[in-house]
Amino acid sequence: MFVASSNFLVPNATLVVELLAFLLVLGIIAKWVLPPVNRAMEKRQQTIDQALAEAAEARERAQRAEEEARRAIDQARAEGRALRDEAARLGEQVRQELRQQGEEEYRRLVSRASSDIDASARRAADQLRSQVADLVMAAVEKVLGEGISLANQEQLIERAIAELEAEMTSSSQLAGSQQASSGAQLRTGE
Amino acid sequence: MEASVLTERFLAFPHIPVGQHVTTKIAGLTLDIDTIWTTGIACAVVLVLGFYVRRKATASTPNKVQLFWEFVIGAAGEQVENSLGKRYRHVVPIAVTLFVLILVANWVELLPGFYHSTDYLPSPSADVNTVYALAVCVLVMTTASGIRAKGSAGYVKSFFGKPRFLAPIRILETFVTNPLSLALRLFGNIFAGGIMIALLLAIPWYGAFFSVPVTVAWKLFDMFIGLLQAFIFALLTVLYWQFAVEEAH
Repeated sequence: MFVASSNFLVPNATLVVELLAFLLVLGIIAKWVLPPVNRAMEKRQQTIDQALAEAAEARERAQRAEEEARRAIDQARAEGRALRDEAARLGEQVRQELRQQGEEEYRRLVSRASSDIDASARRAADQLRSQVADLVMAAVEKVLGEGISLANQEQLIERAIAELEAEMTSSSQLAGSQQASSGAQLRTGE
Repeated sequence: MEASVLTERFLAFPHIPVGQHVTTKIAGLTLDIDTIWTTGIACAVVLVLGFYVRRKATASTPNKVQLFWEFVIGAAGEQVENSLGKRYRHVVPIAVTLFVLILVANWVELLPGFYHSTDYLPSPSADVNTVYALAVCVLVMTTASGIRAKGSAGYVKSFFGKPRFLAPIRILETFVTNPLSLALRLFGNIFAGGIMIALLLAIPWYGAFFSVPVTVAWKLFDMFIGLLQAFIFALLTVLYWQFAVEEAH
């Protein structure tokens, strides 16, 4: 071993050793070091890309969901409006029907009451008439005794009844007008 | 006369060897043992870093070693893709290895010296054998790639484009100037840095208040030069590759 004193810009056999050393390191780096590092870098890049894609997708999904929700709300609002309108319409209809029914019922009650009153009046008149005839007969018998002929009796009775009927008719007309005025009062009190 | 002046100057610092190497002869071939030794250290550091990252490489949170490799691979990949395109992805490992190996080789200089006549460990890059070897590798690989891309005839023809009288200059540039400047740029920077460290360390003990901070500052600057030169070497390799394979305009 010695210290060389030749021109240091001139290479010697060390060059071959250096060449081999470089090629050896190059081979090892290219075959065993770079591939795993590259794989790790690519995988990380993939993960990042995937995460970005997923984030974008999630954002899109959220947007879609929001739009859907807004659409659903709008639809619900429209349905609510329609239901309210329908309810108002039905309510009005029911009110009209009930009002009509009430009026019909009122008219029916009034007409029944007036026909009842007429019938009662007629019945009372008939009853009165028969009672009056009996009374008249009894009174006449008591006043005249038995000296009155059958023919006279009948004439007398007929006349008395006619007079009584005339009287009854005038009194029943008065009752009818009174009833009509009470019906009017009922209607105005409605 | 001149020779005697030089001898006198060397004698002024007889313990500072300029361009001298510890050599041995094997089968009649001279070998710079110090350079081979430091090259071995540099290769070992690179391979340890490489196998460490191979074992620990992860797609989740990378450690600092992996970050370093990823940064270098990413930068080299980008440079190769911009200059050569995706077809030349196989250039990436070459650029990465050149950068990392030269960087570690340059920084070997910072270790204290042993097995050598100086007080620091000489960088392999401060020996022309290393830089010539790397330049030869680059020249052979770029030429082979150029021939593969253009065909033998096409590659030869590419030197004789218009203006034709520049053909000799193109040939000289491609086969002599470029590889030689590539090699000697690296060599000169690191070689000079080593001599600077040797000179600073040669300052006697009573100059320590000056020499210690300046040595520290110089070593830091030398680290920066080492980084820069490694980057330039790798970058120029990619660019020479581009010149070799791209079609003449």
